[in-house]
Amino acid sequence: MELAVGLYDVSKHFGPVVAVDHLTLEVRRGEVFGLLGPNGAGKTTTVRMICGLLKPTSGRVVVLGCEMPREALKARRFIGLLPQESDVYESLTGRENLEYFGRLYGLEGEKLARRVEEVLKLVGLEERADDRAGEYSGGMKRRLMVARAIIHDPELVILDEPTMGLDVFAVRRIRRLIRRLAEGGQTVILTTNDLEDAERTCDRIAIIDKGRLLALGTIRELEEKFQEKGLEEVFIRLVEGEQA
Amino acid sequence: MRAWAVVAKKEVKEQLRSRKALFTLIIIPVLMWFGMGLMHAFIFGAMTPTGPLATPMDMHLAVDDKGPYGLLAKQVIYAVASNMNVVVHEVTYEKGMELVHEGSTVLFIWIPANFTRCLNETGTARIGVWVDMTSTRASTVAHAMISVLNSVVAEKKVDAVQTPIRKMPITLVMLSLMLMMSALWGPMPTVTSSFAGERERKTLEVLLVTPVSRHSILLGKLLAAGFSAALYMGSSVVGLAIYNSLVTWATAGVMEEFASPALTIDQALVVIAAAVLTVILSISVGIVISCFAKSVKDAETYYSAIFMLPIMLMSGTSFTRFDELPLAIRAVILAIPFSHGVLMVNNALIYGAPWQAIAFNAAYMLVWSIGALAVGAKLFEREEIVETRKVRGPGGRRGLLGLFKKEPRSRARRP
Repeated sequence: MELAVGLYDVSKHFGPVVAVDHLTLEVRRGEVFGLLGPNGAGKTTTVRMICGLLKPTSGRVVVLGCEMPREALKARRFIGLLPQESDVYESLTGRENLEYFGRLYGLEGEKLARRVEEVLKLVGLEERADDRAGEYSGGMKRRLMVARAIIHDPELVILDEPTMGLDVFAVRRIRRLIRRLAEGGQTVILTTNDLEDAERTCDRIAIIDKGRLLALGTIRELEEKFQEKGLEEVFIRLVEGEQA
Repeated sequence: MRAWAVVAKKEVKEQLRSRKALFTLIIIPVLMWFGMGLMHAFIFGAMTPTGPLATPMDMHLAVDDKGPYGLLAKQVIYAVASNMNVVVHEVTYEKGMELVHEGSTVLFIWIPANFTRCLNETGTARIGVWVDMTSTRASTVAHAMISVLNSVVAEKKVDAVQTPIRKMPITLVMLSLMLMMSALWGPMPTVTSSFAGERERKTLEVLLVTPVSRHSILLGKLLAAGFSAALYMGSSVVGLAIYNSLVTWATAGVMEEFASPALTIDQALVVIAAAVLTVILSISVGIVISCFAKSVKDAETYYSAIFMLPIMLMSGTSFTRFDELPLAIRAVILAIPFSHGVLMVNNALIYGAPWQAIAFNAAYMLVWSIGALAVGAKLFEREEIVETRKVRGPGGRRGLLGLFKKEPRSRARRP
């Protein structure tokens, strides 16, 4: 099976703090992969290592066949990221925000304009596209950030808490978008605290805490393995057990 | 503990834990007054020939009058000179004028042959005084000598006909100073918001995940800072032209020795080069500041503080002859790269320094700019640019030099 991302015995230390501890996992191409864990579990650090922003203290990270962070520039053409904490350029319009990032990814002219229209429609911002992003509500900004992450039609989309702070309609739209991306053959890594997001969208799930992998599999596999009903019960049992 | 004390304790604790607050409350006032003190020490110290900043000054004297008043004038000049740490070299009038034309003396006094006769017959006599207006010291000494001479000749009057050896074009000095200040402040909004702003807005991480090299991002930001500096300087030049016209108009025919001569093309080129180099330098240093600062406000605070001292020093060097300052202070000024913008302009416009001195000023600024850019580029490549936690592990490198050390081999293991 073709792999999109491979983390092999990866650790990341910040001084005395171990953020990621000998983590090994593989993400297959075309799947929606959920990276779940409580706050401070090491999800964002893992995402940053996948993007080549942080260098592992030890271990190996391979993304779309590229060794990270050595081949990060090559890999980044095919990666789209929505960071957990992010914002938009408020003095630019929504469209200008997308055009700026589109150009950084090498899109130009008609192709860029067409793609901007497509993603605006996907996130439901086409009517407010020419308003300054500073005038957007929090939910609209988040949708614009999702659009920004997929502007270059990346093979790997990493969404760090994509539904955080969104209303129920926006959440539903984002979930539909995630499934659509997977149906189109794109790989999605979704890091979230929202277990419903994970249940509704993810093909496979990894639960991590204190930087260590606690469980990996489909929801059914996890339920069977841990004899629990529903992802929430599995999650609580694993994380509570880890913290006890 | 009472509620107000609880609140006060928490507020103080917060302030003491804020690096920015400590910088604003402690470092900035010290730096500001240190800079102000240095500036005033330069200006007033140079005017006070007996003070600790005074260095010996040479002057030239030609006495053609052998009469009693001629001898008295000579004695007065020697007495004042010895009090004011001035070495008098007696020369002929012709030699003195030669030195004046060469610009190799800062003060030449000539007592003409008819000095005693004029004083005896009319009660008034003239002496010739040639003084370098760029030397506050020479002006002060000349003024003291003429005053003492007048008090010694009692009811008679000595008219000193003063001719400037070198003019002190105040408006030109102000122009160069203001231009350099514009060059320092112009890039600030763009530079401080470049990385600190992206980090504060939380857009930096997304930008760094694009397939654009960090050097390209850095270059783009440098160019944008250069553009905003150019805009700022363009407006400053217009403002300064208005200022210059107003001052020239207001002092026309009254303060001729201060009047600004028109710039030659060579001089204008030096001014432009100095301004451009200062802009590049301030952008480069600003990039380093922006990489360290966590927010735009922090970056602005650090930027202002770091640029305050050189500005104070620059203003000091603008109103005092550089070579009249004590060696230690000259060394401090020469070490600070920002001073070289003003020195470069002054060397070209006022002192007529050799091209090697101007080239040294330019090269010094350029070397510092390249160094600061290299540090900025390295800082921008660090993981700390996106990660707020300390990335260094136990035994990790510290300090700027660590930036340029080679990374150790990764302990990566193949699966």
